[in-house]
This record gives sequence, structure tokens and C-alpha cells, in this order.
Amino acid sequence: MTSVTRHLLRVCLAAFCSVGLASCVVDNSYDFSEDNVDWTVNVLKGADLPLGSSQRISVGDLISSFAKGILDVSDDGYIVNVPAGITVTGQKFGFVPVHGISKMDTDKIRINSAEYHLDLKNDLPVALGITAEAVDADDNRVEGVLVECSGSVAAGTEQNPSTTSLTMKVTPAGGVINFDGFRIILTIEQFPENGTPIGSSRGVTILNSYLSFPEGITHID
Amino acid sequence: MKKIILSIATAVAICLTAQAQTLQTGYFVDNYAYAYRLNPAFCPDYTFIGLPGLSMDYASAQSNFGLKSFFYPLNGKTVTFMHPEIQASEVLSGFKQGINKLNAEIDVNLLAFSFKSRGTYGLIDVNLRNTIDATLPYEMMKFFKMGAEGGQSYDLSGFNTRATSFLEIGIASPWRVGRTVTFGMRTKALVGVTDLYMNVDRLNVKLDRNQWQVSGQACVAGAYDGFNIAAKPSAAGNYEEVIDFPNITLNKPKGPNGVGFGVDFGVNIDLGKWEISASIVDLGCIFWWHNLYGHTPETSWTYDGSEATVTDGSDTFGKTLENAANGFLEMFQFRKEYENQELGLLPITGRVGVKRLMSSDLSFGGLLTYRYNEFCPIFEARASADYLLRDKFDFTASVGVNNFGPVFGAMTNLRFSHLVLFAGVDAYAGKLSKQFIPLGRMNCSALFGANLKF
Repeated sequence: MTSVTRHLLRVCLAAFCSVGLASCVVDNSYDFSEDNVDWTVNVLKGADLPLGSSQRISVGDLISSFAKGILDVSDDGYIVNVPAGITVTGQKFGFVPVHGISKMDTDKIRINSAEYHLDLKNDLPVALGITAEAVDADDNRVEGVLVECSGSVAAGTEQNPSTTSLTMKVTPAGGVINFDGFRIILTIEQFPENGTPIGSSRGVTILNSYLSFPEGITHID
Repeated sequence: MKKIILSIATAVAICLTAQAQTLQTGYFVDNYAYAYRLNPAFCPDYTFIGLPGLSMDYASAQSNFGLKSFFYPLNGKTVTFMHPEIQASEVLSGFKQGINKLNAEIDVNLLAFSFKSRGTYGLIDVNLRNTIDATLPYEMMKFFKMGAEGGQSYDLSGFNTRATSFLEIGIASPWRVGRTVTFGMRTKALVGVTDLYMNVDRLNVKLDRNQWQVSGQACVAGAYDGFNIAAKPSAAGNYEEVIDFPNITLNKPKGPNGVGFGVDFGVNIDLGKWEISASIVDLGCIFWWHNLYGHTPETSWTYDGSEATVTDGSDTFGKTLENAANGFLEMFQFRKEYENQELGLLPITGRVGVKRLMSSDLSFGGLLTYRYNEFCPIFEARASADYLLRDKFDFTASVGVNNFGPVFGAMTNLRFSHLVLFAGVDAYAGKLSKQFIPLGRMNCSALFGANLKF
């Protein structure tokens, strides 16, 4: 081998090693020091959480919240008997099917939006309108939480109850959870005529309810 | 918990893997003291004694993914792949479809010396060998990142991980037959330090609005007599006792946790300008005594929300989530089994090499290597060039390809009067974090050592 070749080979080997070592560059944007790693994670995106068992609101629960004296008690339950001068339509009944949200570590949890899906099966001869609002642990309304829910539930019969699917979209301001649950408000839109019997077992049933989180739940580090 | 995750991730990333127990590039380095680890027919023309802790330290790693598949820079911070502002497409592009693999190894030579006696050359060494292997299904990463957005059904089977550490006490000797052929053999006693593994053979997840269903089967085992295994009654009532992982404590080990035996064979045929060599390394096994063993039953967990109490509207959401989480965790209750013993094979490695001497100071070589590993077999083809300067200083460069991608390495072996120094890499680590941790897909290894020469 000539000396020129030898020198060339030495240069090539040195360059090979140098380039290789130089390729091991440090990227300071990846800093794994303890106070620089942010462990914020987002989970359950797009997942539907089953809420399972049904909730029954009987006619007694409903009517006891409305104007008193609009039903007479009978052997089988009740008979409609609205006194003159009493307006039943527009009366409201509220119930809280989902509660305890603020039991989560709300300093650490962000929920940009959640959807509460439910089916309402109605075997009362009463047409109902539906709205909803966010409430705190004492069931007082909480401002700043957008609750989008509107719809109506048709009157039904024992043999042929009406079923309506509803979606309630809850958007807390800035994803901050400052409410404990939400209240569904049923408003009477149409009431049967006087003399209509209503069995005591009839009512409104919530079925097939589930929660979904379109943007997931974010746990803040 | 965060510290544990980061420490494990860092340790895995730092562990650079050994396809062999030393650099592949070192196979053709003249007078490399530890070439016998690659082929026991090789030995230097000097005797040496290793400097404690510095004689030969080696680490390597190969994987389909890197640390930057799990962590991302964002607004001056380092965030995980599950951060809401990291796009799913970016995360999933960092993983291979199917099963992703990781193999990592650290070898530390604790004692090494060689001797000549009556024409016989012998080498004795004690090494601490540590390996980590893992397989990670792509579907698992997709599930963690996309949740139910990626679909309602997931097959997360195939997650496995194993960490093993053992002492290797070896004695090697080459012997020449005739003028051209040299055989070599290295026998080694193996003392198991610890062996831990978890295999998830089957894990299927189905999420829909009416029901969440998880079915799977997994097993876990550990050989470490310092474990104080805690157990508790099964809350689900499936069986008597389950392993209570959070309450397992660690004590000082009382003794070995396995014994084994291994042997290496090698041959080198010197045909003047050509040399042909072959070796089989790590033929052997370790018999582990697992004092921690458990497996999940073949059952499934179903959650339909019916455990949520929806009556007076109190605590329903919190209770629902709590019930869902507890039920899910209950599914991974590992039934405490009796201690068991298990035979673990060493990662058998076969090599075939050819070397061409161009002149007294230059040679070229080619090497084929196959390493068998339960989770991560490796096949590699490599070519090298070696330049010897003044009969004392070796500079070797190599290029090749293995099943993790292209590799290239360099090594230098400096032989002074009474000191031998060597250092090299089998592939370059590429981008490093601020803490010098390799970030990209790992296909790299590094070595350095210092020995006294006689």
C-alpha cells in the first residue's frame, strides 16, 4: 500500500469516527429534570361510560311538586281533577340524576365538554318539555356552565309509552369543574282532562343513560 | 409513581444493547483483549489484568421506538404522549404496526485476567450481565392515546417484559491444531441474581355505551429471595389469595436465585491472506427459583353501570367512576401460586466471519451474526475495515444492517507498554436529551475499557 493510500485511509477513518460522534447531538428541548416534566394526560376521549340502572319518577313524585289538589285519590291511583282557576301547564319538576361530580379532584381535572345521553320513557298521559341546568352540592343553580338540552316528551299510555332520546351537552367555563351535578327540569306542556285516571304505578323512567366525553378527561399535573 | 415511570424509561433508554457481550466492531480488531467474548478462539498476544470497574463496560439497546415516542417538548416543558395537545397521528407514527420490541443490555466486567502456562493461554473473567426485553403492541399505544376514538374494540395482547441479571464466571482457552486452525472454548458458571417478567398473553377491551368488557390473561413471576410477598383475599371472591403488589417489600438478598451453566465454542482458520472464523456463544441456561408467581384467571370483567346507585342523585358520578376503576383493577388480580422453578435459556448467538489481510497494517472483514432471543431475535450483517498503526494502535470502522436498521461503528484499541485502552461504538446514539439520554429508535451500543498489560 502506498503512503498516499495510507494517509487517505487514516483521514477517512478519522472522519468516519468524528462524523459519527458529532451526530450525537444534544437536543435541550428534551429536558427530563423532575421539575420540567409535565405529566398532564388526557383519557377516555370518545368513550361512553355506561350509567346503567334506570331511574323511575312516579306520578306521585311529579304531582307532589306541582300545584297541589289537581289529582283526586282513587282506588287505583289518581283521577285528574284540576280546580277552576288553576293552570297546570308550565308547572315544573326538577330532579338530579347525576351528582357527586365535584367529589373528583377538581383542581386536577379538566373536562372541556361532556354529554349525558338518556332515554325517557313516559307512560303518563302528560306531555312534558325538558331543559336542564347545572347545580352545586346543595342543588342550587350554578352559573357559567352551559347546559344545552331541549326537547319534549310526548304523552304516553301504559300499553304504549312514548320514548324520547335526549342528549344534554355540558360545557363548564374553561373546563373547570365548579358544579356538582345537573338537574333535569320537566315542564308540563299538556295535561289530561278532568276525570282521566292515572294509575299510581305510572310515571317517567330514565333508561340507557351514559356519559360521553368528546374531548376526554384531562388530569392536570 | 411519576418518578418510577421516568426512572424506568430512562434506564431502558440508557441501557444500550448487546447483540453480543461486546462490540461487534471488535470482532476484527487485532489484539483486542476481550475478543474471546465474541469468539473464544481469539486471544491477544499479551497477558493482561483488568482494572476493577474499568476493565470492560458495555451497554447497548435496540428498539423500534425511542424515548421521543413517549415524550415531547411543548412550550418549554417535556410532556407525555397522552398530553391533550399532542396529536395522535404524531404519536402513532413513532411506533411500528404490530409488535414493537426493545432489547437492552449492560455488561460490567468485575474481574478479568489472562495467563500463559506451558504454551497454553487462559482467560478468566467474572461479569455481571443485565438484560431487559420488552414487546409493546401498537394497539396498546393507540388505545392509550386515542381512547375510544380509535374504535370500540382493542386487542392489546402481546405486552411482555423481562429483566434478568446474573453473574457469569468464565474460563476460556484457545488451542491451536496444526499451523492454521485454532479452536477455542469458554465454559462459564452462571449465578442468577434476579429474574422478573410479566406476560400479557391475552387482553381484549371493548367499550360501548351499554357495556365495557375486558377479558384477558396474564402472568407475573420473579426470582429474588429478597421479596417479601404480600397477599390479600380476592375481593372478587374468585379465589383465596391474590398478590398484593403495593405491599411487597424488598429485603437484602440472602443468596443466589438461580444457577446455570453455559459454554461458548469458536474456531479460526488462518489461510495466510484470509481468515475464516465461526463461533457459537451463550449455549446454556439458568434454572431460576421464582418465589413470586401469579397469574390471572381466564375470566372477563364487565361493567354496565348497574352498580351506580341512581336513586336520590347522591354521589352517582363519583361512585360510578370508582366502581368502574375498581372493577377494572380487580380483573388484574394475580392469584398467588406456589413457588415455581423455570429454565431460562441464554440468548444463543452464532457468528461467521471472514477477514482479508490487504497488507501488514490493513485488513477488511465481513461478519454475519444471529442472536436468538425469546422476544427480540437479531440478525446482522456487518463489514469492517481495520488499520493498524505502528503495531500498537488499531482503528476500526464498520457498517452494516440489522433488523432494526442500518448500523455503523468505530473502535480504537490502544496498546501501550503496560496499558491497554479501548473504546468504541457499534452504532451512534443520534439525538440525545439534555441529560444525554438517547431519544430516537435505539440501535446503538458503546464500550470502553482499561487493562494492565504484561
